[in-house]
Amino acid sequence: MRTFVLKRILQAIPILFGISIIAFAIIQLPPGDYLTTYVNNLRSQGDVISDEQVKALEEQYGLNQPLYLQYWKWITNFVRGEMGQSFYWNKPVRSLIGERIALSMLVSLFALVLTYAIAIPIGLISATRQYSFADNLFTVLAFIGVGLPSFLVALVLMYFGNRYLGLSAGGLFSIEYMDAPWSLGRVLDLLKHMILPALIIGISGTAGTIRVMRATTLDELSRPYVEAARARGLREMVAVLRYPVRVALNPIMSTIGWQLPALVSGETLVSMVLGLPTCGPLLYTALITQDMYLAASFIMILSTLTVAGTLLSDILLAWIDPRIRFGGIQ
Amino acid sequence: MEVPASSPQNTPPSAPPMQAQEDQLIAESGARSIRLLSHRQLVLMRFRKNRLALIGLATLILLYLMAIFCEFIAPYDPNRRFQGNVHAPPTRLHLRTPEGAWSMPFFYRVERKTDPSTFERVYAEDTRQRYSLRLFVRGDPYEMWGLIPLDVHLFGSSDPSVPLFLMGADAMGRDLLSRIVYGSRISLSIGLVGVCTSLLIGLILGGVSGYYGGMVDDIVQRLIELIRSIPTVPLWMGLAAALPPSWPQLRVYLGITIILSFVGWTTLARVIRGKFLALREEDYVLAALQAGAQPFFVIREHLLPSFMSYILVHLTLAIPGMIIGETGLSFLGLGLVAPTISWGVLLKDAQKVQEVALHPWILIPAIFVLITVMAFNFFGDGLRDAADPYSQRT
Amino acid sequence: MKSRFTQGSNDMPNNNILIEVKELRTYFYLTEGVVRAVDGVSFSLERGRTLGVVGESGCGKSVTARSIMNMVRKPGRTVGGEVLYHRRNGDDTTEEIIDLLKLEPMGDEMRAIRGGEFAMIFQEPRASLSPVHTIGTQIVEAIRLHRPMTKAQAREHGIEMLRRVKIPRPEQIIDAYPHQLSGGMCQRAMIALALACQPALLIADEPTTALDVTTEAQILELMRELQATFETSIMYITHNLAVVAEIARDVMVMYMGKDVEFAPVDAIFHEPKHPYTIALLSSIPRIDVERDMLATMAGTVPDPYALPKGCPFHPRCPSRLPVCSQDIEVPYVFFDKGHRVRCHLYTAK
Ligand SMILES: Nc1ncnc2c1ncn2[C@@H]1O[C@H](COP(=O)(O)OP(=O)(O)OP(=O)(O)O)[C@@H](O)[C@H]1O
Ligand SMILES: [Mg+2]
Repeated sequence: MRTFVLKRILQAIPILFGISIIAFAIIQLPPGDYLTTYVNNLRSQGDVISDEQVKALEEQYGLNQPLYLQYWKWITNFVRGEMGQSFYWNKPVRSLIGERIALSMLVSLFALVLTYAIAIPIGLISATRQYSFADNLFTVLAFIGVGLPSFLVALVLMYFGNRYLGLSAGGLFSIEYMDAPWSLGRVLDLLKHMILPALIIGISGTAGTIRVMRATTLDELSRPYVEAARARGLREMVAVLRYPVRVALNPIMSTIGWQLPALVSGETLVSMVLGLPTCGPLLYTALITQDMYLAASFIMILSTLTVAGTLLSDILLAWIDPRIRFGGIQ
Repeated sequence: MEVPASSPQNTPPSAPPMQAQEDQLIAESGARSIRLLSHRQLVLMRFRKNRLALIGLATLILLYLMAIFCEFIAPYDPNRRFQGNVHAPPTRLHLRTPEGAWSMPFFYRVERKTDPSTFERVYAEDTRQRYSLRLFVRGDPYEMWGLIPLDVHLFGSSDPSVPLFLMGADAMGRDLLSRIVYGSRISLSIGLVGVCTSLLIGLILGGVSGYYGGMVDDIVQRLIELIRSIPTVPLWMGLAAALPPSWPQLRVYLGITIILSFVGWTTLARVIRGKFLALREEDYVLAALQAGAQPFFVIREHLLPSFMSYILVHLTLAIPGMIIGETGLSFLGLGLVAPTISWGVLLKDAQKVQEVALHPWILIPAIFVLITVMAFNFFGDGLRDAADPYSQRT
Repeated sequence: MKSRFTQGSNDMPNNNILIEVKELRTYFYLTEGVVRAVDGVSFSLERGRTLGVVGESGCGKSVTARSIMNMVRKPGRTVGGEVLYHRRNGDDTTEEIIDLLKLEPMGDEMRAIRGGEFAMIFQEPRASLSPVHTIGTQIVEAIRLHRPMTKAQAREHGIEMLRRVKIPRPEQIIDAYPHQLSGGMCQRAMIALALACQPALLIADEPTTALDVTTEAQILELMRELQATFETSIMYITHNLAVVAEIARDVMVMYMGKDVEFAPVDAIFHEPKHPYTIALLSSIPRIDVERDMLATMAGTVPDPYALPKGCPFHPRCPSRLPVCSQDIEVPYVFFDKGHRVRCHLYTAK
């Protein structure tokens, strides 16, 4: 087990390195450099900036150095928590993104939990009552739900919510809790506001998980060990829940790896539609205003967290399934 | 699917053994030739049984016909502004006259008034004069595919001065239906172009990776893992934001396609690699190599044909993701921008809930996207089930 | 009153009967039609004895076994017959007779019998064990389901059972997962699991088919030994006649869901009556009988959806009579020593 964990962690390192390169490339890609944009911005606001000041800023960010040195400077600072300055907000990036990343991850994880909480029981019911009315209904729903773009669903739901329920645009907090310090009330308020966005973000994943769960459970239910468990006198529920479901859950767990990036991805778009105070809107403004340190930090951190999540889920999976733990199957 | 071998149970046991053997042989060879001949027919047969997949296919054909003949199908020039028709609601078509008689579809001129007490806009039909919906009317001139100058449209209003907005008008008084029809050309084609680009990259990298294995394979695998571990939307957004605003639209279109393929190729490459790995071991490939065939020749002549259907299925299922990607980016203003027309660009108007609440019809492009995505999924699923009966419906 | 089916291999009627199966019928209702997987099977099994059940693949052996355990699942249904279980009380003095088919299939009473008094082992030992639980977990669970024991006691008992089935290092193996054991080891573990509650009946559904010949011999030896210790009755399903000769006392031959012949093992091998049994026997090579050619049976098993009318074997039967294809149930014909056959050839006598 320990070697397995070590191996997986070692595998994640080159991936993180690659991500940092891509993030850095995103800083570098826009035409002209961000300093020019920044200076132009300041000048257009009437500030007087001398060429010496520009030079000094160039020094500070190492812009006159070769690319690899710039990268090195950026990544070492980044690892130390120095993510640079947001030119647009004129604040350190770190102070801007902390809570938003946390909320983004929270909403994504909540969506993941909801996805499983909804999809696993439904998939199970579908499989154990194959071809019943409920099974057919869920199968059709899941069929439609797979691949639906969540932000469009959000858009349509927003309209109906506004039209028929009088709901105002999303957000994650009620007005009275907007800037309040953390308290039990605020947490509950947050949870209440998170349900709908999480449901929307999870639509596609839920539908997919229902289909996987149904198929694998059906597959497992026809295996001899279920029959053997029945022949031993186990209750039907126990025979189904303790044995095949345990096995059927494995492929579901192993999909966390690709569910997470998809959820974070969906969250980014949906949060813009619903106006959630998470990464999406800020990343969007950062990209529009070419506030590249901010944008790159978002991409870097979101990706890193996703990689970490995948890593955790892999370890979890190995812990659940002895066949992987002992290298029986790969 | 098992071809039922004709059972020899009818052969009387008293029949001479020679005869029985012969019968057996004939039955067997018959079964075999059925199997050889009809793989494609079997796939078609299974596909035809799948009603959802057929509906998906029919929908797609209609949508793509619309994209191909958009100039003809759109009732108006998508950029024509109708004065006094800003945010005009969808025109109601009537089939019965006020007297209750059935009639060809007709409509009334709509008048906009402001409610004096609530200041809300209200629309009232002016029932004094009926206008009818006509087929093949002359209207705004256009050049079919930029080549043939024409002015006949599939349908339109009987009176050119009274416009027909089947799906309402936008903030500049332009006919939304015409814009959706024109937008389909870009939105639907970007999926195809994007998938082809992905396929090209996927084929090269996946094929090389699966064919050579070893180091090359390792590198490509890590690359795929890397790209797939980054949340797609932020990555797309980051890359799209890097496209210079000064670029002409065609180049932006290509740029977006490449960005979408940047992620899209990974799935295809995995699929292709897996197939290559399995096929590499096949005897006939080894035999061809042994006989001195060039690796590229082997790939083209032996490996490619054997998994065309497999690739086709994956391509079909990859297209909707691309369409959604374009829509999302343009919706945010990071992809294509006006004056280019795509469904995403049209949806940009729907970003604000207040706008949508007042003019819900600006959401109609979203419905087109949803229908397209579902049609592709139904079709692709049906194709997969038909091509591989043993695959699970997951 | 006892029917003639309850006669064992002795001529005298006896009270040592464990189960009696009468006119058992189990059908599968599929969209393509009704499969009469078991269509009138009767036999009885005494305590401590072994019954071999043989027949071609698909003739309904496994379905018979599952019907006895009352665990046929949709689309299948046991539509007729009785499975009478002669249950003895603790001190062996009184006996009650229960018709298992009258019990709720998933009810408490049936489940107490299943696993507690009747146990079953299957063809693929590894697939019959949960891949995500250790052997120990599964044994402990099975024991505690039927016997009032603590976890620790059950585990002790489990280790003891593993030792009984000659698994080396049982204290360690009990914590192993099925994929860590060989097929033969898994089958031993399955046997330990089945016998852990000292069942009165063990149904072995082709337990050695998936194993190699050496392992098969060991497992057979083991089952014989354990039967002597625990006095378990065994219903041994196989298509291997050699195995039957080795382990069984009585043999039932099945064809297309019907029990075409039932006899003591010697009678089956030396005086087979039914043409199907004769054909079955002549298709195995034998040293003691001189023959020019190994016979093969004409034709194949008929389509289960379209069974021939009358005797199901008549299309392939070398000695068929006109009456064989008539649409009537083939009657039982009884001989001495409990030998009986369903064939028109003997009705005249
Ligand atoms: N779950 C099921 N659904 C439909 N038909 C079934 C089912 N189980 C068994 N049958 C049918 O019942 C018949 C008898 O099956 P059974 O498994 O008892 O055969 P068997 O004698 O055990 O064969 P084998 O030696 O191959 O194990 C077969 O024709 C089979 O098609
Ligand atoms: Mg069987």
